[in-house]
Amino acid sequence: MTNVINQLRADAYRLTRSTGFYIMLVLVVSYNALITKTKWFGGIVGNVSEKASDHLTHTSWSMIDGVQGSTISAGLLMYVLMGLFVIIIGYEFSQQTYKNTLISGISRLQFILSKYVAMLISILMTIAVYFITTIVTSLIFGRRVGTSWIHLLSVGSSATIAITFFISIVFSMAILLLMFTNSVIISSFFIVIFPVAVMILHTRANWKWLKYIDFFSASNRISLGNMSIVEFSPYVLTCGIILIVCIGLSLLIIREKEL
Amino acid sequence: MPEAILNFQNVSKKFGHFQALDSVSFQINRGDIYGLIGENGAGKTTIMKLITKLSPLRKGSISLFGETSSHYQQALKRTGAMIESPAAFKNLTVVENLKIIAKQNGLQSKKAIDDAIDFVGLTAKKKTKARHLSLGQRQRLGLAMAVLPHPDFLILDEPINGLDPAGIIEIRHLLYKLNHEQQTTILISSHILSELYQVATKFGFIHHGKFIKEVTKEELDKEKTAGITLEVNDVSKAAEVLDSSNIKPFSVPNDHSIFIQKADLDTGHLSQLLVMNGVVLNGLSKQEGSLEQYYTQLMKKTDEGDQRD
Repeated sequence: MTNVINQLRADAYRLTRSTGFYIMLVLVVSYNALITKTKWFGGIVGNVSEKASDHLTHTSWSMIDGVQGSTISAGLLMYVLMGLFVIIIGYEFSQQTYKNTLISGISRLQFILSKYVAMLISILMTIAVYFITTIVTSLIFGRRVGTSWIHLLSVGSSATIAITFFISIVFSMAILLLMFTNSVIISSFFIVIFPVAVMILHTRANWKWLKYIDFFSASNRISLGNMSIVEFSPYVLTCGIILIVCIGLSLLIIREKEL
Repeated sequence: MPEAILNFQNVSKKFGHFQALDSVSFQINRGDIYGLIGENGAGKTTIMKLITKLSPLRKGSISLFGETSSHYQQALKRTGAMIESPAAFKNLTVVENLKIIAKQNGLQSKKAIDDAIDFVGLTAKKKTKARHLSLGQRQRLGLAMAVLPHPDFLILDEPINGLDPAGIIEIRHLLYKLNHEQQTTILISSHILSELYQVATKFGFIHHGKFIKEVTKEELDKEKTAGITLEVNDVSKAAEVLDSSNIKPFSVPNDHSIFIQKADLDTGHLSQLLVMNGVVLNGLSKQEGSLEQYYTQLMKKTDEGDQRD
């Protein structure tokens, strides 16, 4: 456990010394401020009900509308958050500093877990900043809450956690690809292509099972209140299985790898 | 009995069809500065990567500080290493790179970082980004990263690569200090054998993945050959003269020189003997036996032995 905490501290230090991290935060805040100010929503949208879409298009936005619009627009964040993947784990491989890390006495499992947790925490913080920007921008423009503050914060927190978790699952697959190929470019390309590919296949191929990895449609439904706990369970199960398989395979590969 | 820090037992390693290591065994004891000597591709780096688990062990056993390789995470915490080129985050400064190593190792002391920087002579460059360091400065940074956690065992792969002569001397002093003041046991490889000779207390020779020989510095000093080099116009004629005068043993390194493996001959008498027999003597020099010479002869003997087999 101490090794994981030490590695998390080292990654946090490195992240806060990276200009790319601050550029990423500025982009996230600017993107959300623009969405909330202009009442625009879009990007890699996922499935959104017509009713919800009509509502957001034709009403004057309250804070809760801002949170829902921001959730629908969160798909594009993947491309910005890819920077976290590159900084936290990509650089270790492109600059071969993993040698220093692994020689420090950390086990391979602790290394993979610490990298996943570092990404999970930093994604969570960035997504939280994203939704806080919605609320702050709404307050600046004098918008009403549109519901109770407790409900607003509950919807915002649920969306933050769901989006963070779903993005981290995509990153866990990218970690596996990085271990397998040693290429930051290939794994980053996967992060770019995955949500688009799933969305297109989901729409065109009519494979029902694909909905469990169509993460952005799922987070939209959570934010719009269209998904019950029972309906959410298969998503959690699917993500859990993907996470365990990816971490397990990454561990097997790195144990057998000539580094 | 000396305490074994590293025990390398019958370790073999293959990369595809290439036999990188063939049943290699050796031991490093506390306090040793162990010089690993071998040509490019002999298996030196592979040995170091196997010790630090950067390469998975398939055959044989390795124990470090008494722990076996399958479970020696704790032993690795007591080990520092710089293997192949030193790795650092290029966009971070010298201090920032060392802070990362400190955090990974759970070190809190800022002084330890300053001491490591001072120790390797990078104080003037502490705020310089790693990407702007010269090759020699990067070597120093790599060394600072390896020594920062005060390891009991230090593994250095070609640490003086890219260093200028002054840098080489400094690193030599640093290793001496680490070994004598902090009792750090060191495994080091280098192509500059004269430097390795000055630093190491024990030498392991590896050739084509096989461990050929191990000698202490004292044993090496006894074994390595001192002698006289003659520069002549006709080596065959000179060889005949030496042979008939029973001046032996000697070797012919090339077509204009002869090396007599005896250092106590009367050089005046020797030159007179050659000249009187019609050999033009272009030069004569006495030489102390060197590690290079010892290594060359050892490899030659090994290759001849291999050919006979």
